[in-house]
Amino acid sequence: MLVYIIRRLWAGIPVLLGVSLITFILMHVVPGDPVTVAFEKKADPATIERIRREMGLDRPLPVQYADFVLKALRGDLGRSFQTQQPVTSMIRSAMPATLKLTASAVLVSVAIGVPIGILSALNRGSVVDYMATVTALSFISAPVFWVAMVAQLLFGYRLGWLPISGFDTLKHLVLPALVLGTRYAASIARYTRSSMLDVVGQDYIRTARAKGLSGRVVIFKHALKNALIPVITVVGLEIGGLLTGSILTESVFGIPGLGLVTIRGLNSLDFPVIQATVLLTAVIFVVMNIVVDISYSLVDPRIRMT
Amino acid sequence: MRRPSRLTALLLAVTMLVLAACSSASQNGGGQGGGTSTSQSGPSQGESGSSGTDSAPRRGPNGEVYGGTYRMAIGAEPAVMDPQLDTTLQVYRLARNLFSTLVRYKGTTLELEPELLAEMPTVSEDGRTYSFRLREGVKFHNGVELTTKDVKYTIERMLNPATMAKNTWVFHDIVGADEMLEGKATELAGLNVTGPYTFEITLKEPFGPFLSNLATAPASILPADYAAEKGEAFAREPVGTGPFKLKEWRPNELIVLERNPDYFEEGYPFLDAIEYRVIADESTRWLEFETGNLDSNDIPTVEWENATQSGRWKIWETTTLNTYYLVLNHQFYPDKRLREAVSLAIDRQKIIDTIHNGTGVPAKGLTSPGIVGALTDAPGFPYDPERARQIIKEAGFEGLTITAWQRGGDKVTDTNLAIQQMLSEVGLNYVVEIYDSGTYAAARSRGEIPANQGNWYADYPDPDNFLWTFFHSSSSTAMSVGFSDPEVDAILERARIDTDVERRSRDYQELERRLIYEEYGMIPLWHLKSYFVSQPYVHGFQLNPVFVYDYKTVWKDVN
Repeated sequence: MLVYIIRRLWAGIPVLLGVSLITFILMHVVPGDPVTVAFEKKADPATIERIRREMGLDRPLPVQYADFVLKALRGDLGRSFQTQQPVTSMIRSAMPATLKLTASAVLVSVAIGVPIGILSALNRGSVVDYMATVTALSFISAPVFWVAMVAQLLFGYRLGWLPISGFDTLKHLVLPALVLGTRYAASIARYTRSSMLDVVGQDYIRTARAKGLSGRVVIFKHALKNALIPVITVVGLEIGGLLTGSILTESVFGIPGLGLVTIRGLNSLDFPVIQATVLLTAVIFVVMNIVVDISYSLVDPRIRMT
Repeated sequence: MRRPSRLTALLLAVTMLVLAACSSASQNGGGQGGGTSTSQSGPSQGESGSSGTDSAPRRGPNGEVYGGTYRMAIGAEPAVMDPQLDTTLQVYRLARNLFSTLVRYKGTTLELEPELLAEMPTVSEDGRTYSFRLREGVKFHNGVELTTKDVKYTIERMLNPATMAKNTWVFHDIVGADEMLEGKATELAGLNVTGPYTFEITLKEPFGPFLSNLATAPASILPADYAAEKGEAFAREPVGTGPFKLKEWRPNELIVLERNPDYFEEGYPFLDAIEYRVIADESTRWLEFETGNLDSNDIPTVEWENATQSGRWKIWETTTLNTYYLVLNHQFYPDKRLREAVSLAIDRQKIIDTIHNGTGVPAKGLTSPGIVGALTDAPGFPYDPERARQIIKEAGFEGLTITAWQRGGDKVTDTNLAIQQMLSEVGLNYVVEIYDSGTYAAARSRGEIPANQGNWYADYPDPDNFLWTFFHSSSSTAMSVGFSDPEVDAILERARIDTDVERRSRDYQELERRLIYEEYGMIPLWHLKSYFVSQPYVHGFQLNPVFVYDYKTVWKDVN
């Protein structure tokens, strides 16, 4: 297993290099320049030139890129153009909020999504199934910031049950986790449902039933585990997506996560921040893919890791 | 069975991940440390008066209440808390709380008075050399006394190219500034320290607004030893001489300033602390304010009626030094008749009444009223679509397309739509293209934007700040105005260094009459007042037209 993991990680390195190169090229192709953008009012050309020179932005592009890669290999992701802080510490201070949000949203989504999916599958065609489907589709289609603002307005402002914004106590976590969790719960419910339907129609399930095993045992011990594979994929993607920062939810609820760092970096053309967050996204997805693949084998030993 | 145990292992792993995330979160506080504390308690919900004792709160000479934490929200945290490095209004205001300047504006007027100085400086005969004397006994937040060493450090730091300061314009007129910026000198020739509290500054040419420059936030005096030691980290761990000092900074979450007990002005400040919560979304900030979790807030456009009519809150109004304008780049639209027609086609009062809730006045010139040297008896710009149509017909401009750029995120959409409508009524096709900040800024600085609607808030209260910026050939392209006339350049250069206040005023007024009324070099639209709303128990704001206000005089009636 360890060899497998190392091999997969090693294979991820070209991905990271490719991603960083493409990002670098895109950043320099896009019109605009980080120094000019930083001047809110008038931009005196002489000052801009001078600052660009100090920042090393007038060096030939391949030199700038090579410099970035060499430093990154040593773990130095540079300093933000805007805040002068080391990018690694900016990301590190944003991670706890994002981790908390991700973990709780995933829990919510699985806790809601899987049971609903099972219920739908087992009561296929019934009112329960129909309502679950409609609700799921509504949540998937509704824009996440709209759901967030409605939840905030209702539970925070009107009813006063939960805080409107902020991120200190467990109470602050409830609304954002619910907002994000329900959205993914909807997809998970759909995948669980169709996967369960698939599995439940299989021969071995009929055999188990014929053997006289109780319904509950059949579902949980035999059917569910096999139905989980597509669900694991979705959860893996969900974790990947959430870990890179949920910009809209963070904006609405005032959560100091990775999403805000990313969007500020993008808006101000803060190259080091953009490079770092894009690289982080690539790393997260490479790792998540490995984790998901390993989970497959845990759930279904027929899948061997080669 | 083996299968369930693997699944159990997976579930256990997820649970551990959650627990790990929850516990690691309680140790947040930024990698660079310093100035940030571990978070145990959150920002105060509801009132947080300091008067938990039985005795009545301490009061100032005019009934001001000492104590309390002022709670505000900001859309985005400042990138840095270093006024040399940042050009945003937000950082300027923060700087007024943390730092002090040599001179400042008196109350709500445009008159200057000493702040860190013992008295106003004296100026030499030729208007180039200023002699200063500092107050004694002023302490920085770290206890060190302020002396000329700190003034010298501050000015040289700004002009040191390694600092990459963006506000070098504040000190640019001093002799030796260019040499420092080019890296040819490490000390400023025009700064002469004559003692621990006395120094002189010599300018290349006399420059009337120089003292106003010294009153701006970027001219804040920084602590020499501390800042030199901290280097780049100073921007996140600032130390100054202001009424408040930085207590805590949780990145992208919360900034807390606390009272400076050794502030050099007796009796100030009144507040114990100021909290800035970072809340990106405008409607969330408004909800928090309505619920009473914030003490003041900006008024979102959609909440204007609610905010002003409900009677639950206090509305604070400031007449700031601004001018909103429409620019038609001379490189794209060289015919002044077109610009005149555009000006005649716009019903300024109507836009002010419908889009800006009547909170402004039509502009009668470019330089904002209230500034010495602004036009005082100008006729203004009439709304005359008939005449506009006539001019357009005579010049053959029917159907002409004017392409205006709009920066995404700027709140000028409604106005642009109104202008589009009004111009179409006289036969002009006004097209608006929206661009992101990066593209917009780059194009503007290269003079490539064909037209745009914008506004200018004065850096210092002087016509030079308006006219030079938009019409001097060295700056006009960078603002995408595209104007260049050596005669105008000469007038601007002469007026800038003129020490005769009256003659200067007259020169600027004449120039403006010529540039705006005859040439329609730019199309001034209106001047807007600024508003914000606060809870009824908030008092004490001194809202100066320069609009960079601080919280020194603010107090909360915490009873």
